[in-house]
Amino acid sequence: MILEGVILSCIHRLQGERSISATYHVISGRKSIQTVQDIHMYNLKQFYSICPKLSKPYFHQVSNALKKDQLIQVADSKEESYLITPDGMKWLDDYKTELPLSYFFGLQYGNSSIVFWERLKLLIQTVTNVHRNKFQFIPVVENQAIENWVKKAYQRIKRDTSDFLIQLHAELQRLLQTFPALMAEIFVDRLTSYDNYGNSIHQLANSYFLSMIDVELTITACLHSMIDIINHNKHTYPILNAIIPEAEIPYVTASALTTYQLLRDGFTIEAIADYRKLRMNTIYDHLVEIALYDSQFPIDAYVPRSDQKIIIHAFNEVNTYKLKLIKEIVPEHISYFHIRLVLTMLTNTQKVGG
Amino acid sequence: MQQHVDYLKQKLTDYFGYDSFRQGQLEIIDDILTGKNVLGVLPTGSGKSVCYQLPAMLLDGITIVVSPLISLMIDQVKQLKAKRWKRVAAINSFMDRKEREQVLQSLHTYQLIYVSPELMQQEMFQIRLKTLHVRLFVIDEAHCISQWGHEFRPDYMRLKQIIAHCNYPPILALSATATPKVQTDIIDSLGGLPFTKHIYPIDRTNMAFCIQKVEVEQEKVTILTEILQKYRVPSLIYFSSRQKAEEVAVTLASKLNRRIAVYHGGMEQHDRISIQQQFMSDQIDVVCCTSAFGMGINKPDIRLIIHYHLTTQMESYIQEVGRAGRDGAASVSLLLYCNKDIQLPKFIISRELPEKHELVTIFQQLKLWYDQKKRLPLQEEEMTQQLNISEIQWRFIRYHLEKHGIIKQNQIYYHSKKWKKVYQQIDSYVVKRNKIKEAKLTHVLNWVHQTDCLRKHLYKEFQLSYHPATFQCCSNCGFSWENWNPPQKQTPDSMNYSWQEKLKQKLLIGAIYETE
Repeated sequence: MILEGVILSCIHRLQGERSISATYHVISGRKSIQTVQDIHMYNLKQFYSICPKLSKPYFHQVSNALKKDQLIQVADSKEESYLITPDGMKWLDDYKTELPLSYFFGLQYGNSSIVFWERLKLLIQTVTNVHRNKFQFIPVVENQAIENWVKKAYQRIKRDTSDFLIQLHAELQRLLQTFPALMAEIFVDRLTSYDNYGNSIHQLANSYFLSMIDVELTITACLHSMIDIINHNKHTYPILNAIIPEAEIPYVTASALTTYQLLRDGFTIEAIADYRKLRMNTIYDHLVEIALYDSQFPIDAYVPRSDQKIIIHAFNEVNTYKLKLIKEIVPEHISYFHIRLVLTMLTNTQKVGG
Repeated sequence: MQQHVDYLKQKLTDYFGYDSFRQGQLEIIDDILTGKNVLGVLPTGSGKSVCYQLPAMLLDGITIVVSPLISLMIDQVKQLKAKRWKRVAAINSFMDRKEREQVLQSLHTYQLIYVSPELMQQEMFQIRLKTLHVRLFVIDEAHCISQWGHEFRPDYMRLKQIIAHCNYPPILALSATATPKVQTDIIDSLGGLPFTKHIYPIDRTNMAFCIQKVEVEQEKVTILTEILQKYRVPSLIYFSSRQKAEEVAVTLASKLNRRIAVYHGGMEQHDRISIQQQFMSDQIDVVCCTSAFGMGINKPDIRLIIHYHLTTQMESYIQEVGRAGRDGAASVSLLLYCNKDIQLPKFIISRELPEKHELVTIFQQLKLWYDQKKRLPLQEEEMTQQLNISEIQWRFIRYHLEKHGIIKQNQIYYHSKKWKKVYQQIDSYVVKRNKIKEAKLTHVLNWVHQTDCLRKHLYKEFQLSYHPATFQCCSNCGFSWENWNPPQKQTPDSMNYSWQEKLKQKLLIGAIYETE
């Protein structure tokens, strides 16, 4: 049901301007510039990459069921785009309180919540085992970086494991109290401790009568919100705060970074394409990607101020992010690349067009 | 001599905590330490890994273990690390590049290294290997060398060169299921070096074998419900399909007051470890699983193994039922069979190797890349995605293409005549291989329809004789459930704790207060 709610919300916010695949790409966290731009333009940042394991067939199965139940309807069959129906709106409203949609902070905490969760699970398993003098156990998390982190953290804890467990319990208890009971229950059931292995997703799905995907989404929502709360109350949660990784890794691809480096070294787009043996369009994609994150991006160097104004004007006129419609009413010399770049800067609330 | 044996025993206790060697272990270890090449065929669960883990600790130098099953490899390393044996590592294609390079750079600091046969072929690894002092070369699941084995892995055929590369250290080839024909094949494939054979019988005298035929699939669930209702014993139910395992687990959980879980290779690492450990510590009664479950699991009191689907060959069946009753107590294997079941193993077999039309597409794609002067994608994953075939299928094709020089590293070499010939060769190879597999499946079917003693016919391909059953024999020799009365596990109180209480328990809070 959570997945249905997320899909409906995405379709609602995309206003029929993107295909159904765009929704899939948002939820599954596709690292393409198109998707990243979409989440900025259509206010879908919270849902970005909340379900990386979602398979396409399963997604289509769910979205087809939504269509059959007339919660969504075809907007443009050729473009495979959908609109939410009044029934769909009612559905979202009816389940508003049960759906943890506002708990998601996909783009903001997606990466850090995964690291936070793995660290927390392994830390609890390690400390509780050591506390009971058991030094041999099979770790539930297998990841060298996480293991290294826990080893380091453990060095500070080992002097007084009792005290650490009491503090950690107090923080988790306080934090989980602010969550719906179901979320807290699933979260706790998932933890592994001394001689007490956490439940699998399938086990949780069975005991709470949820689909497996909803169990995963519940945990994800819980984690995103936890990090948000901790971030805003660092002094209330010193132990948990220390488990959150330092900096959020931005979603700029390595390839785009290389392009950016070359740009700053003074190479032209053509030269970079030639040098890197990539297509021009790929380099354009890189630029849009960089523009999304770099507030200092020198847009004027790529789109003259006058053209920026024309594009913004056209955008206000058609009132849509559909590039094709904008392209149709601007002069020929303005390319899709120019339009995308300006729209990107617009959604980033940068100064465009002077 | 006795002194030597005592020494080995002492080391066994020191390192593994066992009091004595199990059948075959001492003999094999002794031969290895005197520098002989050994072929060991020991039944599943007999402690094969000790045969090389103990020598690895005693020898000054490195022991290399080739293992085809990455999950098993990871499992072994985890268990050894849990025993606080740190100088052990597994290298496989699942590791990310950085991690792998780190291990490769420090190879010389390890005592025991597990490697997948695919990774072994990488130039980088071979270069590193040359600089090492390899004291023992172990081939786990050695039947993979043989085309007549049930899971032939082409990369195993190239181990001969690697062994030469290592300057011919003593070899230990291990298998739980090698027929005499496969045994000969293993030795031949390794270049005809002299081998000492240690072959031990694989039959389990404490196991009863039952086959129950049903008309429709629904009946299987009814039977499962009845049996599991009656017996609360550690049980495994094997399925050929992940989805079916999940479905049946849900149905059974709704009908029975049992703790039932699912395990298959598609689950994330955390869940797999968790289910495995819960089963080990009796937090779970029944696991609905695929063949991915059980390797590296050493639970002595598994009592009941049920096969919901047919296996594609006897070897898997023997391996899977071999997980029950390791403590020697009376255990039962039940195979549920419905006439329609034959379709699934046939389908599985047909998907293992590329079909004709897939082969054509692959060659076309390679030609296209060649014409565009493109190289092959470096990542195996990318390759399988672009060609829309499975990893196993791609490895199979790559092996053949490399063998004929059509691809070198990730470069494609085109020669029209040669390509045609190689295409024909691969195609006829697939046909041949599928025939072997179909024959193996027929063998399973014949066994299912056998009216004579099941025990007698189960093992006949693997060994000359078998031992009579200690308890009941089989459903053709008058097995009855009434006569099977294993000790039942206790039903724990199913208390419904709140999350607050559970959190306290998990963080050992009550206990802290108690001790203070």
